[in-house]
Amino acid sequence: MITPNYSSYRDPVARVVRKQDGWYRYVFKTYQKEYDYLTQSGLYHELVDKGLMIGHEDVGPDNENPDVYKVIRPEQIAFQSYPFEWSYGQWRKALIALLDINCIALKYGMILKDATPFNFYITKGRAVLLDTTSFILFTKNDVWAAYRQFCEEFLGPLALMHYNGDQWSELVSAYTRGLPLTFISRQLRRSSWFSLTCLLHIHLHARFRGGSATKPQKGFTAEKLLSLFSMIRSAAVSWNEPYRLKGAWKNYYDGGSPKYIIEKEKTVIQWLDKIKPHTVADLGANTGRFAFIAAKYAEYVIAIDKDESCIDSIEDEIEERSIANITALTVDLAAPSPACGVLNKEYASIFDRGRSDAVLGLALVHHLCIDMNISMQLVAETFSAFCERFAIVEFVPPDDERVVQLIENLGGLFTEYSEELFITAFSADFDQVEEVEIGPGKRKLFLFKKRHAAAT
Amino acid sequence: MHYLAYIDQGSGSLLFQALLSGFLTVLVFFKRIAAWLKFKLRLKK
Repeated sequence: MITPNYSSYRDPVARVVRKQDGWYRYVFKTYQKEYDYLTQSGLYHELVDKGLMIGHEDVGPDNENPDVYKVIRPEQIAFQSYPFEWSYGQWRKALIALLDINCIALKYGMILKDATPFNFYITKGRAVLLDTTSFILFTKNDVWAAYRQFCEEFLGPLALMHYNGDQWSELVSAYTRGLPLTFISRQLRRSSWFSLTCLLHIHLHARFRGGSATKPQKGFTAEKLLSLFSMIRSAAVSWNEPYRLKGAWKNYYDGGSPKYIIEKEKTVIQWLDKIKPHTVADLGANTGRFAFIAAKYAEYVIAIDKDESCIDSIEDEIEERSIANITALTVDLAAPSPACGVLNKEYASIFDRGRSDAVLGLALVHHLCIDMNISMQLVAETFSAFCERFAIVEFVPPDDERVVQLIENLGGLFTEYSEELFITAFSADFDQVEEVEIGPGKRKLFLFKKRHAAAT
Repeated sequence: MHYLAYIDQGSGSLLFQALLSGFLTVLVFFKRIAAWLKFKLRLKK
């Protein structure tokens, strides 16, 4: 009996298990035929070579478990973001990757039996399939078993983001097994009825709600499925922009004084070089200026921002420069991704996944305190929850024009924001190591060390 | 008595795929004609 990882309990033919030295996948004998075909037909190699599927090392049989055919060790992933943390561009890449994988698989006589975005991870600006045991042999006139799942979990959310707004992807955290088609169909804007892809796969499909359980005689030929996938792919390619509900943050640094930005960069670089973090979480990463700097000093960086357009911008640069050690994800720090799924253990919270050696929080604290009305104490606790060793935090003084503007927006009533409060709140978990004033606006950068942190 | 909670949502999808297959038959037919015409035109050139 193999105790599965909580996120792999659904797969009847394999189990993902975490051992001391990493993740393993136990492939059962019931999947032997498909597994051998996948690895020996050339399909596996083509998909891995094209960067569409994760590679693995064959560890061999497991002598203790007679049901196990093979144990494989996939390439180990530094960080996995979940679909409800993806930006529009990341969703689109994952959907296109799934269709491409299916088209290639059909050439070899196989097809994906699952079509969930949770089976993908994003690296180097690409979506990569994680689930090696998702393939089944395709027989002519079969229906596509994953069709409904594809529409509910993949196409529907993307269509909602395209037609209604990119924030709709956040619903996926509440509906991890897919949004009901009837719900998607009702929510989509009327213009979606003019898209053949939405009309067929969402609006009309939603009207077929069960009935006879007998399998229809007529399914698809490979040629028909290829046409189907190519039709949906064309739609996804043409949906190059989401309907943006916001996106005010992308030009955040454009109006800043060059001296301020240069000094800030210099200090951050100096401190990163000094503390030598293994991993960095850049909270409020904006367009990733400091995440890209941190990536030169750390093994891995996660760039977090609540603005999807900023994450798309980081993602574009990651793809362009083929950077392997940054993951960008959309998370609102006022409502961070919770643990969810079965027993709340299927998908880990952002704190469990994103806890890092060092945390960057640049020009962020005043937004959390004033915009989001989070007390300074809770802001410091948020940093502490992400932090293992060091935190580099910027404090923008109350008389800074941006802070004055934010307070004015609240009718000038906000008073719980001062450097004293900031230092007191961070002192609960951190020791102050250094403090530097940057730029003409008297903003300050603080280097904090977490109190329980091991000696460096 | 019709128990809605016992209806397999997936079975509606299977039925829909049968209809979709019919639609794709027409699409594939026209695609084949287009491909044949392209081939013929290329031969003439």
